[in-house]
Amino acid sequence: MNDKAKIIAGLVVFLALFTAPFWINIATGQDWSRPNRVVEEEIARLRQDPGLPCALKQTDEERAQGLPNIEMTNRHMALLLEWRDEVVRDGDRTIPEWWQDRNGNPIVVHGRPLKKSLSDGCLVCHTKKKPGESEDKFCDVCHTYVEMEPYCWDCHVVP
Amino acid sequence: MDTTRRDFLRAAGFTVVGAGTVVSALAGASSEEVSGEGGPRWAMVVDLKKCQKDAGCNRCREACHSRHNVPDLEDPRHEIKWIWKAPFEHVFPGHVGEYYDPKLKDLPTVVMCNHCDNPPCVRVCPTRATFRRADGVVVMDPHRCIGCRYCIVGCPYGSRSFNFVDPWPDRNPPNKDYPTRMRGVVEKCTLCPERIAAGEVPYCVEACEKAGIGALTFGDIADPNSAVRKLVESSGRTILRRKPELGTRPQVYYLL
Amino acid sequence: MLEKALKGSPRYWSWLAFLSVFILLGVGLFVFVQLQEGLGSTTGLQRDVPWGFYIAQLTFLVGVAASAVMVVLPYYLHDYKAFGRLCVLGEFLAISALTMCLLFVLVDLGQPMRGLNIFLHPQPRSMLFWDSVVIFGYFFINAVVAWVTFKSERAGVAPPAWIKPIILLSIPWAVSIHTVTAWLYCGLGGRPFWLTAILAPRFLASAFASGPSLLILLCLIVRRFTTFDPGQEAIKKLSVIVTYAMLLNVFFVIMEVFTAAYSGIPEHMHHFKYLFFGFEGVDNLVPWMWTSEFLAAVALVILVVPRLRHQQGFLVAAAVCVIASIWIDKGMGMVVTGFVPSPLGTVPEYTPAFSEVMITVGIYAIGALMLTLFYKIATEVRAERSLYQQARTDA
Repeated sequence: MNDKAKIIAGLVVFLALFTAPFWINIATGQDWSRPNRVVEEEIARLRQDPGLPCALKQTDEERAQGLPNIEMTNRHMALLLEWRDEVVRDGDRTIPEWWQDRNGNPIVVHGRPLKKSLSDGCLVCHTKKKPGESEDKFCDVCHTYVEMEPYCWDCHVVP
Repeated sequence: MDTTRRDFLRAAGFTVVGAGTVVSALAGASSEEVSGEGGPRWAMVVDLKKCQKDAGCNRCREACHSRHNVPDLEDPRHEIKWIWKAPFEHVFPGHVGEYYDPKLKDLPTVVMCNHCDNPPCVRVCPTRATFRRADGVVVMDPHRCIGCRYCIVGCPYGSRSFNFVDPWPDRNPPNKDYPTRMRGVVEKCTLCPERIAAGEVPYCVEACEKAGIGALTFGDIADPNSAVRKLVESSGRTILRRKPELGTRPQVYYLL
Repeated sequence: MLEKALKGSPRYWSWLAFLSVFILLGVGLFVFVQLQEGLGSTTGLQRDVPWGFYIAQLTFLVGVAASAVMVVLPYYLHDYKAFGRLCVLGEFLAISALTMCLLFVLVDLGQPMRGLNIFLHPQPRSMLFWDSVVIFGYFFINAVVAWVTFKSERAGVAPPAWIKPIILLSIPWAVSIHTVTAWLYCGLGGRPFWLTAILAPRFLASAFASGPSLLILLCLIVRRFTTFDPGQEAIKKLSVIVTYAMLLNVFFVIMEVFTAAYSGIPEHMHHFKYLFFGFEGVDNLVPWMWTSEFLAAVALVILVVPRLRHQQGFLVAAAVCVIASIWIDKGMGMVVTGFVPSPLGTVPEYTPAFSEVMITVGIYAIGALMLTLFYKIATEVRAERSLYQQARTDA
């Protein structure tokens, strides 16, 4: 069989192309640990902000009473879709318990009461880079890392 | 041809399914005529006498469009508008006769989504992206909209606009506290549900009140003591609604 | 069986290459321009004219798809043997037409990626939902029927018994797809031009005129370029169907014009004025409509006179005239006119943009490609079978 060389060559090329995502990332020096670091930096930054009410400065144990971080990472999209359908389609703007302060009122941050909303809720604290900015902020880091940009930002502008 | 029991049952099954579909479609067509019991029913009254005092006034439009990030596009064919003024003869076709005051023909008249009780746009939307709440507001859910524009085709009043282009390509709308819409979806006057939920009136009504004109009144028409109910029931003025013969039961009332 | 599409004469390949140029152009314009920028820059659509050229093609092509029933019904319900070999060709035409219909809907959507919302969040009161259901359904019915009957024919056996009820189902289903498409338009109080009970009958009449006309032309092309001959009797019968359907269609149009003109109701009259004479200075459809009526008249003269209808040259001319006339009348003539004048009295002027036209051409090229591949396979299989049968009788 005289085709052996061609076949092996073809297999090598195929394997190279197939594994390309892996070795391209290694070659261009991706920082694998960046997302976790940015989340910790964000939490540290928020804790130091004098304008934030006590509820958001709680410790990890206290925060476990509400929605813990890892669950938020996994669930934030599902949560947003739930909120979206409840607010837009059902007109239900009642704030969930874990989003209220200790007295059952909306949490007030820098004078703004947090609503059941992306722009008027989550984004008041958790930063996202605005169009024209180059540095990735909180939301962007993970999303850039997984190369997945949700189209929410086409409409929901960053406050 | 022999009809076996199996053939008969099969035919009967198809008939039931078919008839059921037809009946449910028809029932669906009429279910929205029954209004929500109890609960508020939001309506808008436009006092044309007060509105016409300042013909060039556009405060309602400016307030609404700026708060809701409605873009002001260059190409008039792609115009997006939620509330605006149109000539009287077009708002009420057939109501202006030959010998009427010629000023009446062109009188700028405020138009917006009528939030009909029997909205054709809701009936034709294939995904229920637009739907009618029990309190009368016809809601537009831009997340579900596929941009087929059937609602625009179905609306007898021309109240709806489609985003033919990206409305804010630089992502810098005037009001950062309110989202924009993306290209490829339909939008229209929302009757400000976020304001109603906070117990306030829509931005257009507020702007008109603040300007001292007070041509727009908003309220719960099911409440016998509300301002809109009193205006509609006992003001003694002639009341017009747009194209009432179509059976859409619009909830924007015009006082002549 | 499918490998027959891969071998062909240079003429076959140059035809496919010719179509591919337009397909690539259309797909490229859609993916790289329309999907990126939206419908504003690539179409002439505007706030007052939300539906235009794309939906016009959809409306016309649903009719062509429905017309397969005109061949299936006589053969399967009335045992009209002459149509026996045409049925598969009619079904393949329906499949190509339906694919084009679905593609036209896709390119017309503002958010095509959300298109499946129609099925994820169904709204049974919306005719667009039912239109999607019946079009997809008819597509699958035709695909199954064509596949099974053709495979059986190729194997030289009768088709299995279970295909018969599906074929019978396709007959009312064909009528339903075009009725539901008419229902998209004729139930809207806000569009008085369309608010007429005769819209669905008009659609069906024009479908049964334009579809069989196209089938006649395709039969003549197939006869010219392959060894398959659909049969003169079948073509003659098709021409009779076209004649009656076209007469009925023109009759319906006259009925509509009379109702609007005699009653003089402005809401109805203004649309017809725009169509035939122009309205408040906007008259871009006027030359098209008069051309359409002229072509219809020419077609009818040929079709009604048997001596002319039986001559192939005249028949081809009549078929082309019928298709062109109905394409104008049912396409742009019906869809755009519903919006002019608009509910607020504005008189918009709509002309399709270059991109819109090229994407349309691309989709028609996709349909033509599908048709070419289907017919190549079908005619070559039949040629093989007839040679085989010849060899058997000779032996």
